[in-house]
Amino acid sequence: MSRRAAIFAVIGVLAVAGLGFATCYWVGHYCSDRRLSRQADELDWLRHEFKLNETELSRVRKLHEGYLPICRDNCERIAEKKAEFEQAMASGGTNFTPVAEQKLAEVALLRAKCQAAMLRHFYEVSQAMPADQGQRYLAEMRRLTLSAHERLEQSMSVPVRSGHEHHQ
Amino acid sequence: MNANNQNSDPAEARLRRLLKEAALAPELPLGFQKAVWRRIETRAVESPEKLVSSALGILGWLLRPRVAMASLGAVLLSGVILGAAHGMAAHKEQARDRYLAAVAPMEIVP
Repeated sequence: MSRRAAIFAVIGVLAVAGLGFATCYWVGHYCSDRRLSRQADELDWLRHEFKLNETELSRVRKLHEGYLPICRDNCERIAEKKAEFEQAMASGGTNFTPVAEQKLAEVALLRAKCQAAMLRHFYEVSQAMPADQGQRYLAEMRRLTLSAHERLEQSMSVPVRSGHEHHQ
Repeated sequence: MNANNQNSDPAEARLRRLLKEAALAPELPLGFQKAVWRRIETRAVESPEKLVSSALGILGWLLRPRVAMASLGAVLLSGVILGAAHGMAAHKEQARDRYLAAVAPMEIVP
């Protein structure tokens, strides 16, 4: 085989292999995504991630369905309060009025109640799971919700000193 | 005379011993250095050509129908497997986000 022919052969083989790989990758990705999306359920992740059997899943589902109206209610109240706050801010012009401050405090209070309800629900769900999975669930939910805010706050705050410095 | 002989004897013995141990290095043939350099240059030119011919040999082996089909099959299969694995990982993330959106819509930090 001449060198030129060899180079063309190499390029051809690589092109065919690359195209074939990309096509099969896309097909595999599409099929698995489509198949899994057909069974979409809000508790899918819990079932697979925490290996729940049908009994455990139905317990969790009951708690989940009981919590959803509470969550919706909290969200609506927070949305209403936020709208009042926006209105107070708009009517104050360039001043931060006491009314706006009051509304802001009410929004914060509602958010804290919402977070408390959410955490209560997480604890209830974790108790409906096997102990080790329940602990994992709590740690993961904490990481995904509260810890995200904590990381944001930590990035903006001064680091707290440990108190073990040497005094001269 | 005897005293002189006795004094020089150790020195003589040492000299004789040194002469015995000493070996004459053979003289290099004429043009030896040039020949060595020429051989080095030739090898330097030969080795890339050897590499190319080895690579061509391997390529020729790979392009045999059975080997080529088997290799292509392996590449395609690995594409399907990787694609499916990536799809499952993406689905898992979507499922988690769906759950979070249901139970903690206010807590999702973009």
